[in-house]
Formats: sequence, structure tokens, C-alpha cells
Amino acid sequence: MKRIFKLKHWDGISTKEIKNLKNKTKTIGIIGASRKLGVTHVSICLANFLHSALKEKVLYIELGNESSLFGFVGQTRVQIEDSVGFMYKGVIYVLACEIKEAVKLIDSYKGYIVIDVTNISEETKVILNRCEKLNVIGSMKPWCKADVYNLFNLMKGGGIKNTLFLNKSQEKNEITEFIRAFKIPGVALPIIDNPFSIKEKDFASLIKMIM
Amino acid sequence: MIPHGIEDEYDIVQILQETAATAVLLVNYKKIGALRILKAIHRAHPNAPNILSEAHLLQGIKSSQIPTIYSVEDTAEMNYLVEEFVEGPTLREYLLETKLSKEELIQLSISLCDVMEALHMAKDEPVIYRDLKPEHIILQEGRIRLIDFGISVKKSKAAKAVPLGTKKWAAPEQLIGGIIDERCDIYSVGKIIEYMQINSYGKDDYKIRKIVNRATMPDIEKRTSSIKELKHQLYELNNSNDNENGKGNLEKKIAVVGTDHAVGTTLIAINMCRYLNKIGKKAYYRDVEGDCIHKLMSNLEDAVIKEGILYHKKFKGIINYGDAVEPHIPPKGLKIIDCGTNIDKATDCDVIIMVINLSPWKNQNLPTWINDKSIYILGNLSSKLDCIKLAKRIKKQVYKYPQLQSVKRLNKEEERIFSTILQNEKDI
Repeated sequence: MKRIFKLKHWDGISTKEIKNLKNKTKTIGIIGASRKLGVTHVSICLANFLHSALKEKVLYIELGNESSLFGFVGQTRVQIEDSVGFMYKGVIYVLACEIKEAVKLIDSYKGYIVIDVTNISEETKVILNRCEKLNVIGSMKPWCKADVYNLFNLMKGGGIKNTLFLNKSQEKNEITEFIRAFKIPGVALPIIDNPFSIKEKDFASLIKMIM
Repeated sequence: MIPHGIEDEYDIVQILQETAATAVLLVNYKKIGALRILKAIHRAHPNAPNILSEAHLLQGIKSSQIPTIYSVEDTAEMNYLVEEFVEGPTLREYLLETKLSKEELIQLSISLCDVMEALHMAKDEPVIYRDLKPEHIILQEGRIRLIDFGISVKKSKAAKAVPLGTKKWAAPEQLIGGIIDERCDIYSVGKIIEYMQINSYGKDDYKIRKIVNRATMPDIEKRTSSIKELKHQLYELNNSNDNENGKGNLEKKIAVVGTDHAVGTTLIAINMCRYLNKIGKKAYYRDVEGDCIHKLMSNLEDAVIKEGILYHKKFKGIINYGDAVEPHIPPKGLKIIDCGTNIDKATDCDVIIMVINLSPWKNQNLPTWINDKSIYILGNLSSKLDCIKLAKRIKKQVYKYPQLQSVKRLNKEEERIFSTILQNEKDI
């Protein structure tokens, strides 16, 4: 009885999870099974959480040929190794980054790295294999399920052990179905309104994406 | 040189100053029998136009704290200016006989800012006074009146003005002929407040000292930027003094600041927070210099974070999140501010606990305002004998902080020290 009361009173976040988090995972990848699932949104949330909430050094790498973030974060230019980055709210953004350049940054950067992997290909697999944690965003809705299966088939044999599936909808049945099929942990994708103004209540779900 | 042709209107009462080509006279205006000041200068004198420009300068200024100009005359031989005779002791004369109370000091400082604000907000463009010193400040019924605008200039003409002013009171840039703007008057106002503070019962008040230090920064860019800002700071200080008794303990701030690094400032601040919470006061720790709370977040595993506060047993710490986390409204309660070694941050607080390590290789410099009653000295990692020696030297009690066996919990000796210190602070 006493324990229940205590839990109700302390409905905050335990620092035990933060302590466990430290020095374990440094390179975190985020990939989407289908298009427009919010990969960039979640990646920015993670990067901002690591820097603003935990005061960690964070490098954000966006793979691809073009970037829609440039207009927003691209005001303060910084040099990071041989690459050009942009500092925004303490996070360094390397936008529209090529695979070779990304590999070099992953190998040399001392701090957390959040990688926004747009899609899976033979080239991006090189990056995925270097991630210590991979967050896959997908939807187990009947019309999207095939994309999730395709992605996991393509990733087979990649050697990524620490993967978390983030289901676009909050439906528990869908998450259970995914866990049964792939034997990989799955949770509902957290709803975070503004990735540049994270709320404390979002911390617990963001910690799961790093651990 | 006593001017001719004034006898019809004025009787000379006293010659205040006289040279071959100039004169300053105290005269009686016959028509109404009032005392006035008559300044006269020969037209051939290079400063002759100055008298006229002084009158022009004062024209657009709306303030009862500057003398009224009655007439300006421009004859074939002389230039005259007749102005109000401001009666009363100068600030220097007044302070020779009187020691100001803290309240009086703040009131006079605000009054000085009022007149300076009137000059800086003059109708057409700001007037830079340039010659503020105790001899030019007259005290009349508890307020300040300013006299002698001989070297004042309009801001637009300040760049071409001859570098004039009085050493000690004038801003450094003014004396070397640098760029002159309102901030050179702010420097002089700061100097006057400092002069008044030395001759007051508030001479150890670190809050006034902080205001003075900012106003008298030799670097113009670091100096208080406007007279309004300076006045606002003085008003805030005045209000905080007025509300001192009514200020609830929930709004009080206690600063813990070290004279050097690694003297135990953070430990003492954390333990003070624990102690206050233990005795039922709501106290929150805040680190304004480092990221101690984030280290606690990472290293403690039995703490909880809720609404921007880290809770661990009796400890409550305000988390300093970065820009990308939605800010929380600070909780109501006593704030224990860990200032590291930043003494400037400490001077914003109501009580200051200064931690000093008396080892010879440590910095032991104490500020000049150490005798303020809201400042307590804690000798940490130091022997009792060293604490006694320091107490004798600074003529102030030095508390010896106990040697700790464990940093994880408060010990009785620590509680006794905190209790002794805080019993002097009735509000807490």
C-alpha cells in the first residue's frame, strides 16, 4: 500500500535510467520503414534532448543529397573535422551528408551522434552497421505493414543488435503483432509537438530510444 | 573685472570669483529684492560665447533641479548671464558634517539620477554635463540641485568639444579626448555615489558597491548603459530595503561563493539545502556557474526528476535545462545559489556565505565589503587556529566548517554551523 502511494507521489523520471544511459550508446540511428513517418522530427528531438536535457555534446548527421533543415538551423556555421556544420541550440548539424563523410565523422567525433538515415540501401547499411542503437519508425497498419517487413528483410544479417521499433500509432495490438513477428522490442512513437521545445514528460520515451 | 552698467538693476553682494576678463557675482536684484548669480565675461575672451551657449543648453531642460536662467545680455563690452542663486551646502560641505544613512544615500543617488536624466532627455538632444563633482552638487531640502554648466555640451557637439573635466570624477575617455556620450556622466554619477557611500552607514553594502562598480567601469562598453538603468537599479535596491521585513522567506536567496576553486563551495551549498529542507524550510539548490545538477542526474540512481527539479532525499535542485527544453516556472522557496567563484553573481542575493580555504597556496582575497552583516565567512579545509587568525585580521567572525567523514549525509556538526549562521537571519 505504501509503495503505491509513493509511486503516485513521485510520478517523475527516475535518474536510474539516466545513469544507465551514460557511456553506453553513443551512435544512434533513426530510419523509417515508409516515407513521411517523422524520422527527421524524432532525430531532432533526440539530439535536442541529449544536449539540452543531459548537457551532452551532440552531432546530428542527416544523410542524403538535400536538406530541408538548412533554412532553419543553418545560421551559425562551424567547422567539424573536414565538414561544414551548423550550430543550433547547442547541437551541431551536418546536413545533406555523404556516406564517406558520415563514416569519417562517426569514427572521429567524441560525443553523441544522431543519424537521420533517410532510407535503406547498400550504402546506408554501412552507416547502420556503425550505429550502436537503431530506432526504426514504421506502421503496422495493413497498408504499411509490407514496408516494415521489407525493411527488416533488407536489414537482415547487418549485425545490428540493439534495435527498437517505434509504431506510428498507439494501438497496442499492432505493437504486439510486431514483437511476435520480429522478436524485437516495440513501443508507440511518442507524440512530441515541437522538437525544439521538448517537455519533461517526453524524456522517458526519448531515453528508451537511446538505451 | 567687475562689469559696468549693472548698478541700475543689481547690487553686488559678494564677488564669488574674479579674473581680468571674467567675474561671478552674487547680486541682489533690486526690483524684487532677490539674490541671483551674475556671470560676466569680456567679449574678447575666447570663452565668451560659452556663457551664451550655457543659456541655450539649459533652455530645453525641464527640471526644477537645475538653476533658472533669468536673462542673457550681449553688450558691446560684455556677455552677461543672470541665473537663480541656488542656496545650500555643497555635497562636500554636507558630508564633512554628516554621515548619511543608507536610505538617505539611495534617495540622494536617485535624486542625482533624476537631474541627470533630465539632461540626457533634453528636448532637442541630450546634454552631456561633463563636470559632476561634489562642489557642483547643492543639497536643498533633501534633494540634489546641480550648478555650473560651464563645460556642458550637446551630444552632437561632444566629439569636437575640448577634453575638459575634473580628474578623479570625470570618465577616463572624457579626459583623453575619446568618444563622449551619456555614459561619461554615468561614470561621474557612479563616482559621486561611491563618495557618498564612503561617508555613509552603508559603506559595506555590497549591493550598492555592485551598482557603483558597474557604473564606474573604465571600459565604456561594460559600463551601465543609461542613467535610466542606473536609476532603476537604485529603485530596486530601495524597494528591496523597504520590503525587507515584508519579504517572505520564500523569495530569499542565499549565495554560497568560494574565494578559490576547490574550496568546497558546492558541498556546502548542497548540504545547506539539505539542512533547510530537513528543518522544514522549502529550499532549492541552483548552480549558476557549473553543471553540478547534471552531474547529480547522471551519478545518482535513486533521485527523481519532476517539473524541472531533481529530488534526492532532503535535496531539491533546480535543473538548468538548455534552450530546447520547455522551461518551468521556478518553484517558490528559499534558493541556495552555488556561485562557484563568481562574486558578481553572489551580490544579487540577500545573504552571502563566503567559503575560504586558508591553506597558503589558495587565494584568500576577500572583498572590501566583507563587513556587511549579511555576509558570513566559512573556513573550510582549514584549521581552527587559521580561522581565529583570519577573524582577528578582518574583525569579523569566521565559522570553521567541520571535516567530513562522509559527503552522503549531513552530520551534526554541519547542522550546528548552519543553524548558528541562520539564526542571525530572522527572515529565514
